[in-house]
Amino acid sequence: MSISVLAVDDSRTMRDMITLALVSEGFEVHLAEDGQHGLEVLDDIEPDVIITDINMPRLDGFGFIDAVRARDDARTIPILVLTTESSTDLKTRARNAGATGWIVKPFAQDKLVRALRMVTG
Amino acid sequence: MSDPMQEIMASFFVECEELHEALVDALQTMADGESDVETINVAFRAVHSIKGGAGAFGLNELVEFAHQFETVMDACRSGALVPDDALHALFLRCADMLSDLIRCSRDGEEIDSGTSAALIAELSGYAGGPGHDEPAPVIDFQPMTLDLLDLGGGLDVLPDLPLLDAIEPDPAAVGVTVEFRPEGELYESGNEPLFLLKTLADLGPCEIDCAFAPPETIQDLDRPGGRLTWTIRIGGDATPAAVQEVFEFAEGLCHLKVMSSGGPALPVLERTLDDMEDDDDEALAAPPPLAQIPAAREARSEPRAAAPQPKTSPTVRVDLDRIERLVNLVGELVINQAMLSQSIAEQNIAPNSPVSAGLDEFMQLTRNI
Repeated sequence: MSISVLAVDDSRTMRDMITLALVSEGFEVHLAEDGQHGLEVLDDIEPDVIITDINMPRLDGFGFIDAVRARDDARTIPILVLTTESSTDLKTRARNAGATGWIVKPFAQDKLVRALRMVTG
Repeated sequence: MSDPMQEIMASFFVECEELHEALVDALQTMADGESDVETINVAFRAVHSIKGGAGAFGLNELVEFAHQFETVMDACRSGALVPDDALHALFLRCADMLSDLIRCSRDGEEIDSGTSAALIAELSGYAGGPGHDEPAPVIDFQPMTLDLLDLGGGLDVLPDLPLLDAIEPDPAAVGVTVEFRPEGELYESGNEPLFLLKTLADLGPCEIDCAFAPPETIQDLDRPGGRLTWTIRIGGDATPAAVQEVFEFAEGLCHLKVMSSGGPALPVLERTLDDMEDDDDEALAAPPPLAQIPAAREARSEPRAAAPQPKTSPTVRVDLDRIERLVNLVGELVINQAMLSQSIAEQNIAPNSPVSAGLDEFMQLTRNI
């Protein structure tokens, strides 16, 4: 059974790249354009893992993670932050919001796949 | 068959045009003094998204310029920098430069590096105030690698990419011993210890022990985590670095020690919670190296009349599948207990009734498990 992924990113290019990287590895990919859209998608699906950007319109990544962790139906879903920065400060903020881990953009396909497989078992 | 990466790159440049248009609109609004908080956010996100996409395609000059551009804009949106007319004008000139860099990157034209460098220097002047004199964060450039043969049809001609040098295994490595004690924060972050153990098992043949520290007071029950200490001995070519990579996301959320088996203990990689300082560190600091395990087993099988045994914590070795089943069953138990509690609450049953008392005991037992 394939691993279901919700990828939340306001960049169309990033959404395309995530889709390309994961579909070829057998993942089922759902997309959202910002945090608010991500929450709406979560009303319809229950992904095994979430990937989210940080800087997004309407609801940014930190707010999105907060909101996901507040939902009874999604608070244990692993959430990986996909970010261009790798600073300790950002990791700390993401972790405080409830993120499971982080992947630095631009990402290597094998590292992303490995991380997703690890956090979903 | 078209190259999917080329298609995404073409789409990226179209997106860049849209983002650049949004950037210029936002910058013009700011220059006109009609901006609000969201205006600078729109401008920042436009440059940030261009930078992110450019990084994926290795467009380094575009990335470098966008990075410095967004750094100054980030200072503006955080309030650390209040833009004046000169900075507004600089932003608009930078937007023009960004447009040129995008066009040159798309069309393969030569980039005007001199103008780009001059603008970066001007931007650095704004970003170089107190507290901003540290070097720009190093972006981890990892050009995305894709298995194009698995994309449904593949390509007729694959690009001739250079091969990376093979990483030679460390001949000194004879296995690794890991001590891992998940704290409550690890569970709350969505990390799952069982998955970490499974990933470790992928590194080489594993032996896993688990020591359980029962709660000493009733208050301890309110503190999740910190009760199970896993000792994992990994053979084969496993290295401490590989183990450390597995625990990357657990950094700061657990007690972790990684030791080369048979060698000296490596420094503790993570210790974050103050209350862990009270734990029995000495007992945890020196688990038996792999070579001593058979001897230890023999010692345990000696009759009780033999020489006095050192006081050790009881341990049990279990199969990972059994642990997974146990974790799932406990999860079901907790869910059923919560449903039962809700049903009783809805029935308005008195708290001192036998049913409520029984449920309290059930909850207590569940917590203990």
